[in-house]
Amino acid sequence: MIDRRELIQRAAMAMGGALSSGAIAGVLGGCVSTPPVQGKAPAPPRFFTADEQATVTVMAEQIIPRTNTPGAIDLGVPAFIDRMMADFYLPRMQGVVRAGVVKVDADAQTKYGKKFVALTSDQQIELMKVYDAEQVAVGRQQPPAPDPHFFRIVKELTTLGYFTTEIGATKVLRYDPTPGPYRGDIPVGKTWAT
Amino acid sequence: MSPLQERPRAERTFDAIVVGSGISGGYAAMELTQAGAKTLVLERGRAVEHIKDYPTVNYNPWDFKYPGGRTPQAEIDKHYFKQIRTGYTVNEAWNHFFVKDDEHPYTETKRYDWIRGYQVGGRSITWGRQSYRHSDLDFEANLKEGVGVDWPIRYNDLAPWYDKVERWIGVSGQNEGLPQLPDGQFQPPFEMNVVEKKFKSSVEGKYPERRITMGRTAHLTKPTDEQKKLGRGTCQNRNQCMRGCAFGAYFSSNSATLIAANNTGKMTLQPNSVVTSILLDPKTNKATGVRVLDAETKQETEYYAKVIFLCASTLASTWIMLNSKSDRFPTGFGNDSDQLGRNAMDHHFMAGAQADIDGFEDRYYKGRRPTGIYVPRFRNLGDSKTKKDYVRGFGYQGGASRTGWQRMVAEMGFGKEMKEELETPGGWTMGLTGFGETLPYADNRVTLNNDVKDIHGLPTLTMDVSIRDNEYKMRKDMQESAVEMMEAAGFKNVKAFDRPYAPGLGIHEMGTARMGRDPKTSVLNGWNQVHACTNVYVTDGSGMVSTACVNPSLTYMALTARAADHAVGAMKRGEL
Repeated sequence: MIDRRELIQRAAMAMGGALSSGAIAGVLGGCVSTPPVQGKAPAPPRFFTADEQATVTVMAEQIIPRTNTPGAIDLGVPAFIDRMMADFYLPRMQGVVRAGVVKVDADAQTKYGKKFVALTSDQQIELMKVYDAEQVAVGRQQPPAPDPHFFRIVKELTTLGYFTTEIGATKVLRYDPTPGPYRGDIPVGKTWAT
Repeated sequence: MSPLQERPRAERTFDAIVVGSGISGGYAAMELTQAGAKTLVLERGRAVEHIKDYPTVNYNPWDFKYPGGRTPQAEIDKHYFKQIRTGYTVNEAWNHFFVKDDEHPYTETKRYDWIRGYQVGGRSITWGRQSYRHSDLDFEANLKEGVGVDWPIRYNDLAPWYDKVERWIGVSGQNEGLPQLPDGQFQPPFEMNVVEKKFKSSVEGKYPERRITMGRTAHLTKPTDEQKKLGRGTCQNRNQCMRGCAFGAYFSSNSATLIAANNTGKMTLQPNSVVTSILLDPKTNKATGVRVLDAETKQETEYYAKVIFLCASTLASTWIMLNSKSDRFPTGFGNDSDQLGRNAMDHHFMAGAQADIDGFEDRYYKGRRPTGIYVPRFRNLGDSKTKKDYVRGFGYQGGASRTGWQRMVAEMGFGKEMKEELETPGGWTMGLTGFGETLPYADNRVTLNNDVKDIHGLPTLTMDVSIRDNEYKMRKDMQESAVEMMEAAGFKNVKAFDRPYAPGLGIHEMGTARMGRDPKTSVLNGWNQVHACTNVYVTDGSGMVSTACVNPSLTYMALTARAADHAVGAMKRGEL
């Protein structure tokens, strides 16, 4: 279980200047002893608003949390998602994802009376489980749905961004740029990154 | 510097001209230069030097601009709207080895996928490397069935050239003693993984006429001294071949034939040289050379030689011939038969089956093997037992592997549990896709289009090609037979698939200047010479009379080596 305060602090670090100290104070429920953001602040988001990026950051870390290995925030996944949305996706998919992320906060307000990032970790997970079930259902629709569910994109980008980093590929999984002879029957071990 | 046109004619005169530097052109260049012929190799695209010009060869997953080399849709829409149709050609790892569709348009009466690489080495840099021989089952089929025209050669004519090419390029594989898929000169095969071995024993146990073998692949597994001397080494199972290989472990023009040709001191390799037509001397009825448009300066120059090898790739060679009109050949070079541009063929594929496999959870593999298993043709072998409601046949390519970190995206679950689960591989899956023979149909045709011009202002091609009833019946069998084999192996969730295929997608264009015995019904003779102008040889896929069901590049190289030997002999005898 991720400690909410830790998560918010890591989210704030990942967001750099995008999340103001006021916003941090807000999500911490008035706690004023927020430690200063450390390290080099990444650039502010280019696609998402600061609020949207905060939501995406928390979701990414809930999808791949820090355990005995780094989490999504540690490996810069939130910034990666923003970059992919800004540079890679076309307006239609950008719209799907933005609308979905905005709705997350609306759902959080409806259900818990707070913004998503201010919810407890359990509450965040509860909401995300609903989105996860929805994305699976939409993905299996026949005939295929015209657009994927926004959470499918967020989950896909989180996984993709995480396991294609050097640490994700080489430390969390294993990677061999030059394997040498092919062996067709060895004992199972960590997943090969490629 | 003075314009090339002003260079003396003697400086623009060679013993031989080879048009194209891909898998056929590279081979022709090597054979001709090694026989002592001063040879000009004209390549329409840019220079690509082995290793030096493979910019992504050592990229790790985190080195790409976007993960996996994904290319933004806006770039695809602008440059690669047709190249994207394969699903794998458009990628930062190798975009630079494929054409930009906006620069090189073509017109489709029906969907036609033309996947091209305009550079030194052509598509030999990015080819699939599967290397199989045609058999007499293939060479005799047209005659026996009254389809198209008869091949002017038989297996025995080509067998020594297959031997020579396999030894020289290096093909790994297993001899199986099958008449329909002749044995060859192989380096050791890659190993099957544990599930593939299970599949092999189950299927061969239940279906004696079916064989599961390792894909015969132009990768070095035990390089010869000759190959080592060229700087080529053993395959390292990186499976990033389409980026180019720093080990020179798979065969390409760049890693092998062009280096060998260059070593003779007899080759002049000239990139950025678009051959627009063949020059004909009406008095002697011989080709005298070619006209070339410089892709950069747009200047036109003529080059001369005693013999010309057209190896520009099937449709590009056909384009050159269609664009070479004269009083003697008003509808295209050597087109007395009206067969030029007709009988366009490909291999149809993407029909087969996939399955999940229970068990073997404690087994894995090491390395990214650059090939899969192969199931040689087992239909219509000439007996009643293998006879079907269609003619010809298909082979399967496929393989088994475990799912990786991508597998949970479409499933329920995230968080710590998902993360931990992804650290070990998922279940085993297996896929098989048939590669089927396509029959020659005279109205499957490419024609010259003067209304649509390419980046150089040159006319382009219009394709009107489709597969027919025989191919559709075969696709049904490709699915059913794959399902029954996977069920025989005890696999789960066996699902047939028949994904949209359009001609060209196999990237095995063939047949638009076919060989034959009769000049009235074919463009080329049994030595790949233009019937009506014998100092022009066409030795890429254009000459193919039927496709067989096996990947064709090995056959192009064998035909090229054989034709080059013939041309050298003819030159010595003063016949050309």
